[in-house]
Amino acid sequence: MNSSVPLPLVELADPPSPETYTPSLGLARRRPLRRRAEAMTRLPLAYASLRNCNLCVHRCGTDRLLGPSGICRAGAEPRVFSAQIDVGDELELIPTYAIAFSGCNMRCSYCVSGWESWNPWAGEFYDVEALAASAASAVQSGAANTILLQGGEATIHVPWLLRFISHLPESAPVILKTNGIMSQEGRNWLRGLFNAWLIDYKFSNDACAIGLSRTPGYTAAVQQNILWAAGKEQEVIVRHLVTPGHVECCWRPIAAWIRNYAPEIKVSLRFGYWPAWKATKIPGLNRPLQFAEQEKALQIASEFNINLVP
Amino acid sequence: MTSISDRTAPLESTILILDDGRILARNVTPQLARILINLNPDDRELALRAALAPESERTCLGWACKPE
Repeated sequence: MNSSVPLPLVELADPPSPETYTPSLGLARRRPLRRRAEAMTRLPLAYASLRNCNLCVHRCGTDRLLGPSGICRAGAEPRVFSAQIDVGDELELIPTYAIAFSGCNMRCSYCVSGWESWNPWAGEFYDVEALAASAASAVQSGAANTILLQGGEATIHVPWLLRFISHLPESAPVILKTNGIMSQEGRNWLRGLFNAWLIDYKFSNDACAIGLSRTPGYTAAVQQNILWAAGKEQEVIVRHLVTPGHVECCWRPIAAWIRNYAPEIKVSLRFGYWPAWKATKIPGLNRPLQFAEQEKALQIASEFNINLVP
Repeated sequence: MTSISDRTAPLESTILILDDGRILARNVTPQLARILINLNPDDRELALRAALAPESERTCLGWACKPE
């Protein structure tokens, strides 16, 4: 899916400099109000919605209260396969207490989390109140600056997220990381509850989304969700993992879209691709990112004046 | 339902060292950050991440690294 569009001559963008980088004040400024009570209020109906689940773009309509079902194969309660301090995310978020749920509604062939990510049987059930206490303790002790909820895909576990929020201190800085394919119903359950959204924007077109992640309707969904999140006065970081062979077909159009529709949004360009899981057997994806591709991705970011954050 | 206090799972990270010397990592814990910066002290961003990583004893939260 790579094209050979000639590149205009532009200066290469330097990666953001850690020495000069000042973390955004957005997390403190955009503290949700009364979210514990709001989460509790939404909880009963959110649980009931699992009986006819339409939380994401797939709109399976399956009854998750009867057990694991749908494309994500998730039941009503998520399992957690990792909960630990992490410093690999964006600088303004770290150190973060990262909680990873198993189960995902995408099937990215290069997923570094592999089966733990998409298999909802991975990990274990944990008491939500105890996990919230552990996360809050990490923040209060200074071991973590934020709490990061991620997957798999966190947004398929709406009721659990609401319960988790209801057990956290109001002041806890909570980040929701998502693949961005929530439905309108899905995002409405979660509106206003998080200090920031970290949204993956993986592919610029549905052909790549279907080919690499088996996700029809991806492009419209992720674009709607990014604009929705940014328009709700929520702090948003868009993350793009630069993928081998997809710089021109995916990153360039994504950068152009961001330039046109969300020019001030923060963008985290990630270069840590490695050929994990099924990608080891897929020609074109079975190699790490080349240095030239990384340079080209930065060149494109500069060309479109993208607001990169480290 | 597993109790957090019953769990003694270690902190978990993964690294991949490429043929050209690049080091990729996922789930970069504070411990791994310090190792990586020793391997590549010229990486400014990595240095900042390592500097932001709290002391290891402060990461012993709940089941993440429960003392024996």
